[in-house]
Amino acid sequence: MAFTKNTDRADTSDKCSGATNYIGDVFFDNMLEAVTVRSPVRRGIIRNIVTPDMPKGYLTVGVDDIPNQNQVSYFRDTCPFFAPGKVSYIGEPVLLVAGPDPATVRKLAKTIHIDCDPIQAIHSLDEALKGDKPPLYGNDNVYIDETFAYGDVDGAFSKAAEVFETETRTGYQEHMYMETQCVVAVPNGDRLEIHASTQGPHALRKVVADALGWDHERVRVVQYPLGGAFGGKIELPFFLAGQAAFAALKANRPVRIVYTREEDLLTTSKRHPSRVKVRSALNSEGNIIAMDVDVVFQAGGYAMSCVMVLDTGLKKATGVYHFPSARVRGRAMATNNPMPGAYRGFGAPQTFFAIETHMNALARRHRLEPLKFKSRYFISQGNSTLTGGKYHFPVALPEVMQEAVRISDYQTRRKQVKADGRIRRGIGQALFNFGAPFSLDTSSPMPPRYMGLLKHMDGTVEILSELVDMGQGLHTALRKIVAAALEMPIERIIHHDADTDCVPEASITGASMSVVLFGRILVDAAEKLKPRLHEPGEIKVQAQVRQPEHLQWDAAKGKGDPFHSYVWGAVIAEVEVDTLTWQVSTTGLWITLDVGTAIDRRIIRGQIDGGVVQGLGYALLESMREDTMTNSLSDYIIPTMLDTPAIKSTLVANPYPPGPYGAKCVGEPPLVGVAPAIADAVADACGVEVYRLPISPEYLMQQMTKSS
Amino acid sequence: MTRTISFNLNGAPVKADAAHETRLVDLLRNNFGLTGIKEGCGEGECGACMILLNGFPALSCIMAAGAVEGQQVTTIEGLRSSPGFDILAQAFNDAGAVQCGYCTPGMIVIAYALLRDDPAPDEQTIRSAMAGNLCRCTGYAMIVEAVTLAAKRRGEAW
Repeated sequence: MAFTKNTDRADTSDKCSGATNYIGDVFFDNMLEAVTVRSPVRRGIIRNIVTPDMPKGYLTVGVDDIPNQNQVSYFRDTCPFFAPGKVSYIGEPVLLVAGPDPATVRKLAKTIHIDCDPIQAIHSLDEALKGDKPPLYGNDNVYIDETFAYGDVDGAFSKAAEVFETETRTGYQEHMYMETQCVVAVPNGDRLEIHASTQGPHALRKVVADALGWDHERVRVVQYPLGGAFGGKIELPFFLAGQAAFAALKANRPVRIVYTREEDLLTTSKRHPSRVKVRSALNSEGNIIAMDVDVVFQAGGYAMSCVMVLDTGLKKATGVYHFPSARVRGRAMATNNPMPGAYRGFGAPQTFFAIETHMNALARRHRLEPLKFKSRYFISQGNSTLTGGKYHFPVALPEVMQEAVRISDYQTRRKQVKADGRIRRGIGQALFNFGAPFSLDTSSPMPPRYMGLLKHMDGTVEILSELVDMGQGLHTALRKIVAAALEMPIERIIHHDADTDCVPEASITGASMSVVLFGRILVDAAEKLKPRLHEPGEIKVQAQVRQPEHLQWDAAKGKGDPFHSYVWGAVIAEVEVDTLTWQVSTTGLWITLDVGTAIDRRIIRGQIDGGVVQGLGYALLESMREDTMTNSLSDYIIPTMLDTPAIKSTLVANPYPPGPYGAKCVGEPPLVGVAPAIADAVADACGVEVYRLPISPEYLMQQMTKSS
Repeated sequence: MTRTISFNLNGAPVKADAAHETRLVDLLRNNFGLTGIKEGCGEGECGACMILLNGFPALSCIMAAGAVEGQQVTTIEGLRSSPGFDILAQAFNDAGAVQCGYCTPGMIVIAYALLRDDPAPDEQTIRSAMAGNLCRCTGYAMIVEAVTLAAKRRGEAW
């Protein structure tokens, strides 16, 4: 099956004309607006909450209004809807004020005083590791501590001729979806409807029902078009939906929470700040005999999904390399900071920045051509993974690297003169892979999950899935796959935004798994429907979600194949550094990816361009202080049209047999390699290593001063 | 305290009662139901709330509603029936310039004004003119290509 033609998306026309209704554009009768009253301190015990008398029709909603449990049931660790008598970060929700007039609600919220007995706060991951403040979680502030290893790492280090160590640090990265968080809870008889901008309708339904102590079926989640998400609309909507639900049931009216940009920046999830130490042991011939990686994430006041984000990042921490022995340890630390969470790349941007920066610095130290040096350790098909699994399918890493080198004319550019008056030029590269989806235990049966197809009376076929189009074009890609499997025109295939009353539970949409895994399940469903297409009337078929047959994963031991499939990629970046201002500008970006079979090249290019520019922001611009002072779009700078160079991207075809028509994923990978490639280019231009993100003028000036 | 504001909205004279502190974006969205205008930042940084004020791009989230007294306001809804809009929307489709769509109405508004004043802008002109409109999905290149494409197809649309 060749997917040679780009398909027009069904949502473009309404999005252009402004006719698309996001949840914030919908007004319900008698709807109340709710504003969140938040902790003014980083850490303390709530002694008293002073609330003024509420005018008629206005109310407050807090911990005492939660019918069942003050816990987002999606998470393993404590994650309350409202502060449970104590607060753990500035901005933690304490209560809501709700009422008919938004301006009045905001004024009332400002008059509420939260009186706290302060406790010494833990400000950073270094303070959390040091442990000289009262612990916030357990007795050591560690949400999770896990290690993956093979071979005799300590033995290799004890006999090493050279040990090379680097330490990289990265900060928060904010998703900065253009549509801020918004949800509306609507009481309806003995049921409750949640109208939401979420990446996981069924997961959201469960969280709200569990908090209410209701059967899940009594809650209905209606999905609206998402104004961007990038991982930022998995976790936060749980909190907003629960809070709005408590208020809606108390007031018996629809209640809406819509975040201002300031609230969204201060209190929603972000990429975890990190510190990664990488040590390599080399023998007397200069070959790496062991790699030891120590990852620490700053994981905020409550754990949320840090366990999964860290775990995924760790499994990717040895990069595209197979070393004779390796060990990766990771810890996620509790601190009194806003809660980080899922963000495009899911732990990998931090660990790939660390390993690629280490390998590039090591090559420079040994005066070796970096790509040639790195290719000594390339993973090849049949190699074992960090977790003792196997790279089952062809590894297109050499092809991807050669293609990126070709399209960027890398070797010629490397030889260019670096200095040109006050401007210095440099070129850099980074190699990466991206495993997805993450594996579920294969020794026990998976919970039953389904994808469905419904043939309507008029012959159109509707995809019954809760998977979310958050702008990435997923519904178009899935429609295209189903159209191919049914040999029908794509115009006859429909995919609506989800309504949990109408579509079965499958999964949250994220982790780059939708096309590669659920696309395949839709092919299964299509194979059931195809012989029955000529039958009259409505026909509904379902296919159960199953993992591919090659997979072996023991979740308890952390052994086996951690991911179903791997995307391979290479990024080349060219920069100019102004030695007067230490401002870095990117003058060229080239990226080559193996995404298996390309289902729609125009959509894939959109994912690549967008991911690369988010990676560019991560590398150079996006900086957020951990003390929550970064609260506006004029403080938190994302790339504009003037900050982005031409991006040239190409694909290498390396079909993945278990994927739908050989497709892998594309959502997250393009972001991952950009920051290390830009850092390498800056290092090439300036002759100093770059170990921080973002590469601010201040940091670069410091590095230059240190080296001179 | 409220007062009555009279202005021309998408070609028709209108009146609205608004409190002194009402922002234009709220007046247009709440009183007139013009929800094609989006609020992304509330401080004039992102361009999602862009409108045309007497034909020139303006940001409705940092304007007092009263500021449009006696003026002409055009929103994305007002552009829908123009031939220029059709060309732009088709070009945005063809170039793959739309992902989540939240920034798109603002992008179309500014592109509409740009192409009216400059029949054949080069890439740098487009990037400079539209640098106040943020997009987090596309990385911008496909939007720039869409505007270039629309300029090529402009015909007599402007």
